[in-house]
Amino acid sequence: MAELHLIGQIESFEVQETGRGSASFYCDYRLVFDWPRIVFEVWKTDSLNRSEIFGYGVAHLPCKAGFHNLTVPVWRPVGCNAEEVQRQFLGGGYEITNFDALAAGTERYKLLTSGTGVIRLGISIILRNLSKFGVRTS
Amino acid sequence: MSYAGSYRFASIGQLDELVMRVSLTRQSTAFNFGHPILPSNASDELSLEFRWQEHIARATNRLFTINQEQLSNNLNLVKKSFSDRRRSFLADCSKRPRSSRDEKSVGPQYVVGSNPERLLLKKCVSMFVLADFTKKIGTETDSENLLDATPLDTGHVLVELHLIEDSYGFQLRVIPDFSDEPYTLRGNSENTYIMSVTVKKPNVLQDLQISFPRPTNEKSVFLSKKMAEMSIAQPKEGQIRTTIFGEIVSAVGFPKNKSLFVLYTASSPHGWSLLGKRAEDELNATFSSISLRYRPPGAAIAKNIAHFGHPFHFNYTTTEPENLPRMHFKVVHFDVNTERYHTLATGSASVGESNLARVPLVRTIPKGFVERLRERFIGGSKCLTGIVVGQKIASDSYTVPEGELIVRVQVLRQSRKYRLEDLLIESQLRLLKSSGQTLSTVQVALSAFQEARLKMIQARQEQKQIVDTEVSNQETRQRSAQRRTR
Repeated sequence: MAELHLIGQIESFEVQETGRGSASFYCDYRLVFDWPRIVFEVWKTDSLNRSEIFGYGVAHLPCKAGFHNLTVPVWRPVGCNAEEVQRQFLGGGYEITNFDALAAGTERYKLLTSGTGVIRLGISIILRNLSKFGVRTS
Repeated sequence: MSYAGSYRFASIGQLDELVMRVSLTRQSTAFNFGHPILPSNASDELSLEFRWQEHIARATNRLFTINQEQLSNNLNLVKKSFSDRRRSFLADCSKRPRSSRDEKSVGPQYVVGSNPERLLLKKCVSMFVLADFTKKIGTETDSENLLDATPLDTGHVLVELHLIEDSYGFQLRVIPDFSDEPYTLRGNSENTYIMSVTVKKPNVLQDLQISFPRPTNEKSVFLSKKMAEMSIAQPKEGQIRTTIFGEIVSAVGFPKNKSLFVLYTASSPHGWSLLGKRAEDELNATFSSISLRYRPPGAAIAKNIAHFGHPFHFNYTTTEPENLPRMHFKVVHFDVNTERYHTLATGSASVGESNLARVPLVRTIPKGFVERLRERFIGGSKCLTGIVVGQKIASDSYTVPEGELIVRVQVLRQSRKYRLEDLLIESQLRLLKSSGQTLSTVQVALSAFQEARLKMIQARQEQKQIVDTEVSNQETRQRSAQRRTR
């Protein structure tokens, strides 16, 4: 059985979108397997202690062993003008509930998104037993 | 019945999870004042639940009736799945004639069907939920006639469902709109019914299921540990399986506040073939992203960047690894107001090694003045065109650089040849490790050889020095002899 070990940390989240007031951010993440890719959910907690989604990011894990610096762009779905005004003053916004569909689809261009920032990762990859299956990473 | 409720979807596949519930309640005439009111003393209720997708998928089974046994006593329908009901009904219709019990059934009969004339139109699919309040339906028709009958002729139209395809996706229009209050219906018999329709819409878009929730004060944070097994099958002898995956990270240098999306595809060179279900010329698209002014971390100048982070994945098998596949990109802007697609730039890059590639893009501009004015004011085409691989630039146009695309590409190769090479190295190492005597002998032999080689080199150098000294002595003797002769 081939193994891939991932060791690292989320170093920072650099906000691109300017919002109202001060806010704090935190990240949820999970792994999706094919060649594994890591999916991020960035949440925003405002001054009223309300949490809302701030963006999503997807990145494949590197296939080379060693240390890697990854930069993952984060985006969020954008609604119509009224919904954006509502989001600006009342909070909330569109959320994606099915991440598995991010890898396929042809009519996805109808979903409008906006970049909200960048997640910087520092991760180390350890590969084991890939050579048993004749796999070479370029 | 002039109102219409509309529900918007991204694609036809999303209708799979759409659940529509039609309930019809018989009401006493004493409480019917001609206004839509809720039944205060509803004695019995009939409900029908079905899934819309099943009607769309199979045209031959779009007409059906509900089990008569359940309707006979005006009892609530057992909540089975619609497919089971339809299957049982069709089985009953095909095997045996209708029983006398069905003929004596009391209460309305539901018929859900479609208008066959409108079904021929691609842009609009209409369906109807019908009820017949008479007792005679079904007694004179067999199953085939019932399936072939026009639904509009068989009963009272309760609900009209129109599935309209437009440029934004699909819109399900329900007439009347039951979102506010139920409606009363007067049947052919003396009974009056109150009808209500609810459409449960679990997802807004098909692939990206999104919702619009309000912010919550509580958010449960949890981390989960997951494991997965990837089965890696060996490719055939002489073949190399190449997996190319990565992300379209962002598009840089396009106009600000413009929604962009990227069409991408891959072309395989000679000796390469694509694996999997994905067709070679299949059009892949990212979602649209608004280009915003942004200064990337570590950069000095702010740029217009549209973030995508869109993953892609291609599987190839090849016998000629010296050739490399190419990925082709096309950045498109969709103008919502004019519903036109503007091609902003195109580009391509060969994919050979894992790296963070910056793909330069070019924009084709016509040379003619009229064509340029047309492109400037009218814009692109009404339909979305794909990527033409290997298309040459026309003689009446030229290209200018327009932005760039940042793509992170990773390449995995798998072959039996690699496995054999690794096995050879492993076996050599294993042999040396397992036989310590052999290892020491080899080491001694190597060290002795090295020592002998070093001694030989030293001897050659010493001999060379001796030869050099002898030559120099002879030269000095010759020079002294020449001086003497002079």
